[in-house]
Amino acid sequence: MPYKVLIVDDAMFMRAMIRDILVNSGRYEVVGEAANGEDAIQQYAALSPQLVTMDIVMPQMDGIEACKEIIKLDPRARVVMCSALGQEALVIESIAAGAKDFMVKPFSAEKVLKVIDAVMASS
Amino acid sequence: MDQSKYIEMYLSEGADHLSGLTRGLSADSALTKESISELFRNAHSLKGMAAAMGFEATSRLSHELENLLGRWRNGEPQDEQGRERALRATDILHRLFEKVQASGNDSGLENEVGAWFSSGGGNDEKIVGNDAPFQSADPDTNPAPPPKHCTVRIRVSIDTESQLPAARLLVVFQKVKSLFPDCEISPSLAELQKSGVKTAEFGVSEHPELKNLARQIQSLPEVAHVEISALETAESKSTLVSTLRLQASTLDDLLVRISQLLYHMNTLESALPGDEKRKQKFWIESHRSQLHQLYNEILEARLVSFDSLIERLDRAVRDLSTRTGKPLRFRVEGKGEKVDKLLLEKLLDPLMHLMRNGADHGIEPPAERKSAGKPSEGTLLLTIKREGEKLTIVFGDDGKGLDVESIRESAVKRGIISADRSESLSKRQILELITLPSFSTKTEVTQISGRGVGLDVVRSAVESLGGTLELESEKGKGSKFFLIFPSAVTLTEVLVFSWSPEFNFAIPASQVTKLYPLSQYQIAWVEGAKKLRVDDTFLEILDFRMSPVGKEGIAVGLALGSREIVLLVSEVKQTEKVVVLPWGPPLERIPHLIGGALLSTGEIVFILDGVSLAREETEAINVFQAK
Repeated sequence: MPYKVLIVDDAMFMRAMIRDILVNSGRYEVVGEAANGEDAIQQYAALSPQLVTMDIVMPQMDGIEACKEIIKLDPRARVVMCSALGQEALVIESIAAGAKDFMVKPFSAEKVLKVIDAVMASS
Repeated sequence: MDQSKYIEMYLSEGADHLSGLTRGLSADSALTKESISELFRNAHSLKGMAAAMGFEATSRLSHELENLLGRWRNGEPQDEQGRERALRATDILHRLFEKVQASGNDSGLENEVGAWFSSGGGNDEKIVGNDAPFQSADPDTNPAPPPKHCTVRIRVSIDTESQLPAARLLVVFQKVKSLFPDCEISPSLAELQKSGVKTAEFGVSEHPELKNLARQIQSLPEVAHVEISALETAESKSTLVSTLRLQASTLDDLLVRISQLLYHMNTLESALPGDEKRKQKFWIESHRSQLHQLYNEILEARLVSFDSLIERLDRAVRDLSTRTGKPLRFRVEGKGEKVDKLLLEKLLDPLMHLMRNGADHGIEPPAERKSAGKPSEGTLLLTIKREGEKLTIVFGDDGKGLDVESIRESAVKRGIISADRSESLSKRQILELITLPSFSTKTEVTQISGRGVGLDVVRSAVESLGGTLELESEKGKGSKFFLIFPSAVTLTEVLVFSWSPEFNFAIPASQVTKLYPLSQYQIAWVEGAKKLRVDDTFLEILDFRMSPVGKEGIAVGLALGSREIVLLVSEVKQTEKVVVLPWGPPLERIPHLIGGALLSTGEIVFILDGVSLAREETEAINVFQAK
């Protein structure tokens, strides 16, 4: 059974890219996509995915807030942050808040799967 | 990653961000906090998308725009100038998008992008507000010794390529804390963020699960090495290696290896059957884009600041001032500019040469300067600027300038050109004559510059680095020498062409001025020689084609000083950035052959020096005409 993933990113382009990488691996299934933090929390509650990829910079509610809220909702949630270079402080803040791991743009399939596989394997 | 299915999405979604930027930035009133945040997100998204597609210019420019907006968001005052600058960046981004739409990539606007960057303000690498260190800490504190109760040390090193090492080590830290909640990390997170160090230590104690923990850490992404050791004493010190010295040739070897990997990729790709190729395209492309990125990072690592050279030149100016008895001032603009280390080393000699020339021949004695209404102190000015793909170094003096008439006379007297021909040359072309071997406008020999101006030495040094030398001079006001280089010396952009289907040849693109398809330009016989007619001028022709083809060939314009000469070829294929590898003996002795390279198609190409080809040919013509 492929793991259920929720992709959160305000760019459709990025969502499509991550989705393709995950689906092509055969190990993941994308059950939902959200374009902002508020939507992400609602979808998390409704879909209970096994993993969330979370962009940091988003309108309405940013990824760090959303990550914190999701972990409040489900302390065992697996949230992986998507960051750009130069956002180390934000990534550190979200890991301190309970995000399991992170990946840095630009994404390659190898990078994404390595991080996500490791998160799934270790918890 | 270069997939057409993403391009469409990139263009449409990117267009939304672009119009968001244009709309927001051209608003009449000052920007509100909300609208700045919105603009910041627009720029940020563009950056991420462009980086994912491998569009370097777009991602660099939007990154800088993001930084600018980030500063406003953090409360720095927004001035008209900054607004104007942000709008200009948006304009260029629009045009980069048009390029992508037309050709599938964003190259071709390097000059505009470069000009934007060099127009100031944008290139300071200030950290955007919310990226400021997570917690403040005294940078000078040494890594704290592990707490007393710790008996075991876990030492973790992560991959050197890790982009956010502190965040990566925090992930490791969280893992360690799952077993040892009170454990501490050294150096502290704040220090790790500041220093970018890629190794950290965790003080823990004996535990049955310790080995298991180490295994788990080892399986985390980017973890290179995990080491567990017993702590003997509290003062066991850690020595962290944060920098290491490498020979430049090590990096060159890596570059060559990467280009071989690219070659293997291509071979592999072409060996795949068609449908398999389509299926694997994503992986192939992402592999390729990773290799290209790696390549660029290694190139980046070769860059050093210009400062180190300035010190030596500074000292030289003081010496020159004493020896010539002329008071001299040395001004430098843009010395923080980074250049390839190899280039920097090889620039010292030509620059010293120009400097001696300037001090000796250019700058007048103080009395003469005074009577000409100039300050008695002569000025030597060195300017370093990067414009797009090019690095320009300008060396100027405010001395008496070059006398075009006396250069003309001297050239005729020495038989370098005929009197007739000298009349038809422009001022610039005459000036260029002094860069020919053993040409001198000065009859006396001085201790400093020796006989002759020796500008040919400077010129050949510049050209051997793939650059060109140009000069400007005004009588009574001074002279300027322009040394223009492609920015990465190891990576040369070449124009690939062929004379026959079996072999590819190439010329450094920096030497090419223009392409003239023979279907549109005529070849005419002028004074017993074939020439290419371009508007009202006739360009000299170099023709090495085996079997001259009529209208199908292309004339490649080559810059020879300020003149242009054309090389006839059968077919022009593409331009490409390659690592030029020198031929070993005996091929290296073939004149005009710079080296060879592998193209991204996996083909081998011979790289010719267009300027040396053209020069030999035309000097033969000059001598012929002088007689």
